[in-house]
Amino acid sequence: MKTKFFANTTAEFIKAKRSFAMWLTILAALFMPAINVVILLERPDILLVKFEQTPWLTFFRFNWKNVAAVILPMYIILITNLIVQIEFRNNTWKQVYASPRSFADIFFSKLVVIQMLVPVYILCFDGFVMLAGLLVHSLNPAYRLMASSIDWSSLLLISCRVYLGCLAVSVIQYWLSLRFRNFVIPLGLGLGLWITGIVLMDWDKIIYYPYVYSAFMFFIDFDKEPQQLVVLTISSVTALVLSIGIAYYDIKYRPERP
Amino acid sequence: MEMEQAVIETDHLDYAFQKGDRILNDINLRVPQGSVYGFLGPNGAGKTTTLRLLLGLLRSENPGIHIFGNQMPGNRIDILRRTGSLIEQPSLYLHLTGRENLDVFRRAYECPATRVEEVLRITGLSDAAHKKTKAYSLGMKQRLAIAIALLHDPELLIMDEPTNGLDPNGIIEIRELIRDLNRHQGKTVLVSSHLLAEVEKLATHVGIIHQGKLLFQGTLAELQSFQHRHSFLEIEVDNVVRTEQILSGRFPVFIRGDSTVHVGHSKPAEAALINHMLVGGGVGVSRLCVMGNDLERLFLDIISA
Repeated sequence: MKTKFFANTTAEFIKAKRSFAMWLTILAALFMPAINVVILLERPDILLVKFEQTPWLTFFRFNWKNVAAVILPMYIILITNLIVQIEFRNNTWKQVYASPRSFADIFFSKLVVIQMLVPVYILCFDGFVMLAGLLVHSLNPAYRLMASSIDWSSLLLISCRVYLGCLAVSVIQYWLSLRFRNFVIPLGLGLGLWITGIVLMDWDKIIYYPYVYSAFMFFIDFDKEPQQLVVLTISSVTALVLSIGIAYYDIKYRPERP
Repeated sequence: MEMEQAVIETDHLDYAFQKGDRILNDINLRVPQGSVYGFLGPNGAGKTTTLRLLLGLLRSENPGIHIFGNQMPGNRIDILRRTGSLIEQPSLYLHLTGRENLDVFRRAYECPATRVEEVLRITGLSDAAHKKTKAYSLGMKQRLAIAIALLHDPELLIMDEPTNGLDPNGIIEIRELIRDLNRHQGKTVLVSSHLLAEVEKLATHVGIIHQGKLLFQGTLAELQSFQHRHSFLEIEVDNVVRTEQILSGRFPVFIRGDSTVHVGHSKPAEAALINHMLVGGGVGVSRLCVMGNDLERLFLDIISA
């Protein structure tokens, strides 16, 4: 059973080959570091002072703030849609469901691909941030990035927390992408749900809304509010488990295979 | 037919996408082992819905589907392990090559990598295996879809309109391939089509579905015998009123114009008797020909009955 699941997950990776998935991952990861290189080089008059104390941590946070709040949710909405649309676009769902695979195998093997691509995106992004930092320093040594050691632990911590925060959204978006043949619907719903989260940011019940978890994981100062980290971690894991359960149940018991 | 072991059996199969909107009505399909079963019907008759139910692509609480003696969907995986399928247009990943497409499905069917080359050879695609399938012609796509269906060397093949959209050459290729799979590899084939002449050339057994009802099921020979019982003579006469008076007591007569009548008859010898009766009754017969000699005419008669 495990061997078969592994074989089918490998097949899912073959399907993603030569699709836009890998390009989207690299381009989305490159986007913010590239823009920030330009910003840092253009406005040293304003920014140099901010980089004096902890240049690498400041640079990481400078890049991650937009990614945690905007780019990562957008990437997840797009990549889940893109991976699932490979089947819809090619009319292959019926062949997939007519093959001797359990519904769990079909559901989770594709989810694994998405769950692999998101960390790959984060790794690529972190890699591009490092390169961007080196480039900024080489073009304007006043930023002193090379003069201090790289704060690896902070980078790892930010990456892991934000990834944990976005897990439930990746499953919800996967579910929506499976539910609707028309790619515009999960895309629109995803954007709508994300914007709603931004609008309702100050709502006292916002902790029950998974679309803001990745932003909260970055923006909340857990040194000042350590209990919030516990609450957010529990909320993220609960939302993940619930969304997997509901999505799988719904897809398994749908009356018609696409 | 009743004596042969059935690979597919449905027992009073009903299906409705919405309550009250019944698509299938009391379908008792019986596909004998080793047969090529032509599942005939006009577009919208319920062919694809039936095939999707057989493959578990539609969820039905109806317990009346048995394939290899196992109930569907209860034994879905066991059944699909022994069944190859091609539903509607070919299901292919167009951004992948032919070989990569087979490699994807090979893993689902748990076949060795060598099987990919075998099915490429069987379907005549070895030379095009390295090309992306979006560059394939429709015939090649159809053959690759059949290659996917053959990957796990299934005992049963379920194909929905496999010749749809193909040119005459492509139709012949697919027909020969199906015939070969049936005769030389012993596979039972259920093939749906609205191309009646095609089924006549290929099938050993026929099921005719219309508006969700199975109107005929039997061997091709039984269908031809049925055809003789339901054929008509088209007769050109000089007096249609007199013709009706002479024949209406013994044969069904339908006036089709000032000088044309259609007369139902059940065997060829009756044509001579009808002619004799008309001439004897003083009616001039200028033309007499048998109608409904092909499956297409019979099919239209059956579904419009």
